[in-house]
Amino acid sequence: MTLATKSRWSIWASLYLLAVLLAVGSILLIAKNQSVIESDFNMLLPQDQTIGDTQKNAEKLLDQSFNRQMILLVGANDRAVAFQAAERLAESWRESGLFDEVNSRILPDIQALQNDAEYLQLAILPQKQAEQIIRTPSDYFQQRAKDLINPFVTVPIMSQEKDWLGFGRFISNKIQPTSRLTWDSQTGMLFAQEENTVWVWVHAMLPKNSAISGVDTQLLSLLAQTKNTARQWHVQTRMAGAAIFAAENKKSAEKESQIMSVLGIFLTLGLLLSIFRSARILSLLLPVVGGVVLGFAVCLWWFGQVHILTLVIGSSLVGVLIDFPVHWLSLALWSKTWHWQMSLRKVTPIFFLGLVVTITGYAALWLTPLPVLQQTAIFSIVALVGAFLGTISLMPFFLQTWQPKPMRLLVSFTEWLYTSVQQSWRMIYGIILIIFILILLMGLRLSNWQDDIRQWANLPDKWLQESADIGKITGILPAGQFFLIEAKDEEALLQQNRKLDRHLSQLQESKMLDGFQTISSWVLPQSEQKQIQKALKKISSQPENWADMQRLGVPKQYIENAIMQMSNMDTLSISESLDSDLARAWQPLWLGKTNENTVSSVVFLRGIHNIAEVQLAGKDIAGVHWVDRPARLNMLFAQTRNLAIQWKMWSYLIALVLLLLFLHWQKAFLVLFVPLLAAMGTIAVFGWLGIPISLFAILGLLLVSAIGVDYAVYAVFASNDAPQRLAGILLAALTTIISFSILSFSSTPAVSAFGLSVTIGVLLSLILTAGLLMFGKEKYAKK
Amino acid sequence: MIKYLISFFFLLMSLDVSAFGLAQLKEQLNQSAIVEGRFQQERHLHSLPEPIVSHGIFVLRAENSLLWHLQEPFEEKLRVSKMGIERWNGTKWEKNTSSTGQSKNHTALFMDLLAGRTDTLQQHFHVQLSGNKQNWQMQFQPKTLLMQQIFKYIDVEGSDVVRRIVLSEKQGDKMVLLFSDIHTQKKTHDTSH
Repeated sequence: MTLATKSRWSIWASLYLLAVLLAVGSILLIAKNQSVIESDFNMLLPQDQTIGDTQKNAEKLLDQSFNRQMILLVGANDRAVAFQAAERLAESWRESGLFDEVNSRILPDIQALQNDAEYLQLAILPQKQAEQIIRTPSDYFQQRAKDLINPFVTVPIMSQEKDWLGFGRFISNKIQPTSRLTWDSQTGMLFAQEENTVWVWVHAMLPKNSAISGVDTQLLSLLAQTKNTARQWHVQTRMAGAAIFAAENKKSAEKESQIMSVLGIFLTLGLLLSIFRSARILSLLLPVVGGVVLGFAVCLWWFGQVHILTLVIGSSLVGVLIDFPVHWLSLALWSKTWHWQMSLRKVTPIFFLGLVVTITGYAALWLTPLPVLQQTAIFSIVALVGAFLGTISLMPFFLQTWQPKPMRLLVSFTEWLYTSVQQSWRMIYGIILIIFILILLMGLRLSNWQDDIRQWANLPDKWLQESADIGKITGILPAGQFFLIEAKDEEALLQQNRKLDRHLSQLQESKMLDGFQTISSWVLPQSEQKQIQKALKKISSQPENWADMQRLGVPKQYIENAIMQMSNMDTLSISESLDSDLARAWQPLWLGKTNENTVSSVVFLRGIHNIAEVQLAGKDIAGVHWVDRPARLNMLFAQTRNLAIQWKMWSYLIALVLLLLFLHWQKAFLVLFVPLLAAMGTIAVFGWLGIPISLFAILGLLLVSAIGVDYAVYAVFASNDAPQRLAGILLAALTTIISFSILSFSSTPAVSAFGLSVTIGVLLSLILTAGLLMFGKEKYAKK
Repeated sequence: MIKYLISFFFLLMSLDVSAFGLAQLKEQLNQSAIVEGRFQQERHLHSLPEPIVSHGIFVLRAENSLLWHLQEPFEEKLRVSKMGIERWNGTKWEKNTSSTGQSKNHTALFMDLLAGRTDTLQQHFHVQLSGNKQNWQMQFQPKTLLMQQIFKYIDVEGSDVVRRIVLSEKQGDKMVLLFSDIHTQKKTHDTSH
């Protein structure tokens, strides 16, 4: 190395190191103030373009409250044991400090409830009674008189002298909407009886943004501890909550990304060490680490946080990042005269082309509407460029005095393979290859194109079962489907709501639906409250309408006064009526103002037995939207997958254009033939294996096409001898396969599908590229 | 020796008194398969000068169902069972709309009082029993916070059956139920009708 070039290299190397150090510094700086790793799996879901802003806001509000809820059921044969254990477990949850609140007991303060009942009584009168007062007031008062002497009706919340009209009779029934839970007045706890087991209900709320504050890791240990304690006490538990799944996912993803990157690096370096037999080869790790650090930092700048899944997929990059130095060094296997600069000159241009093609593959990922893939794209592109720059700027320092020890075994193996195929087995190999490809492609017929939300996240069966149990025992776990109602004001909203109620009641009668909860069964429209007041005023001078009350001995004066008071009461809006402890069970239904001129509410459904019919219930009502989130997500995944296929086609076209700039058109098409066939072959293998082709498998293929082009370009374009190229490609493919096959063991179905599709795709690319090399027209030892 | 005899005699007597406990009462009240008779209900509302008086007939069956037929001042037939309260609308039994949720608790309480199921009542009340087999009184003092907020006390009196129930509410109102003309059918009898 001359002095001039040496100093030039030094400048490059210092610049590179400076950039890496800056990146490390900024990561540390950001990590000091906030958590840099995000694990909320909902953040990864595709952005839905098919729904309006109002609906998005409404769903966001719902999610926020839904994601915070945790439910614990404690069951035992003995009632007292169940109640005691539930209280003690609830206490341990409180002590954990993880929750904003833990509710095990509901002890109503009758005095407070009475006050609330007084101002709510008009607004929350049941619809049936409201109609009676407006249309047939004498019927209403006849029933009112009968109820006054009915000993079985609850002692009313309001005292009789304040409730001569009897509106207060209906309030206590509204506090607890129908479910299988019963309130135990002795302990104040809610419980459900199932065969011989008494299940006690405990409800807890996590703080807002619990995922960011790192509550989830502690949550899992608290749940394990709860299970343990319950086992010691011989009671059963069932626990459910969206946070459990998030925490489980985060835990397994974190563990996996650690194991995978360590294993990936270990295996890759092991392979390289055994082939190059020099400790210097460990320095290859430097540009890899540099690339990863740069990718992480840029992602952090760009997105604020890096998702854990990006890290998992990113950790598989090791195998790709190391490709370039491997190609470069593989030349050293052949001769002792290997010189770093000469061989670098030999492979750099070709590798630069490969890099550009690979980057277009990742850039295609960036165009998907999935945030996690955009992150993966940025991460990978920066890491690839970073590793490339790192290799050319840093590696000379480590390798300039390296004396390579050519590996006879590998050299003679590839040479033997190449020459024997070239000379004698060419025909046989060709036929075998063609038959193999044909058999493979028959699998295309078997491929099953399907996207399911369950292929996406890792939902442990254990927890799914527990939450299903809770739904069965209590009957109040809402279905994943619901109706969203939008209207310009509260009045219109309640009217629309009622129309829907009528349809839903019919469905309930015909057993297609177990139950539903709507805001219109809580509160009357203000117009109707006024109508009641008007009707009351009218009958205040018509005592014949309330004669039955007088028959019981209630003085005329009392009724007249009561009517007068009621007709002067303030009517209440929905939000006013919900501002009370009595309304607690109804508050989640009301979303309030979700847009400038829109108010929204939700209709929760329980036990949907005929989804097709239930779905149609809101068809003809303005502003009523059927929301089926699992189905919609599956559809979005399928749409994204189809888009991904289109982008893939575009990326082939771009690759073709790029290749035509450098290669003869025949060669360019041959080169493109490798990734195209590898991708089709991968789909076919999935078909043979019976694995559905999901969005994530297709995204893996995007990467395969980039890598495949890379190999093919190197095979066709590089100036070194064919066996040398074969050895280089073999090594590069091995390192890639190592890291992606590790990924395919991930417990997150999305990650494992991605890993498997890349592994198979790269393997096929390797076989096809080898074929391309061997059937090339050039003869061995051309030079 | 005579000292021992006397103390033995007293011992026997005290045994006899204490032998009439809640368990025995429960057994006594549980002997009948069907109890039927007349009821009179006085609803004392502190804001009304006169109590509201109503009467009718009732049939209580051991399998925990009750027919409550109000005759004066209105006609109304109610049926209470595990299903809740149902009302006869002239052609069929129809579910009382106000019998969900909390009033289930109240109905259960009422049925427990009628059937003398003191063990369930003891979850909510301190129970005191006095008197003997032929003439006993029970007083229930609310134990739980909720019951304390609703009731002052509940008194039940009776012999082989419950004769009088007084529910005194915290708000100052009171309900008195008197049962008369009572006929019973022992459990050993055929109860199929």
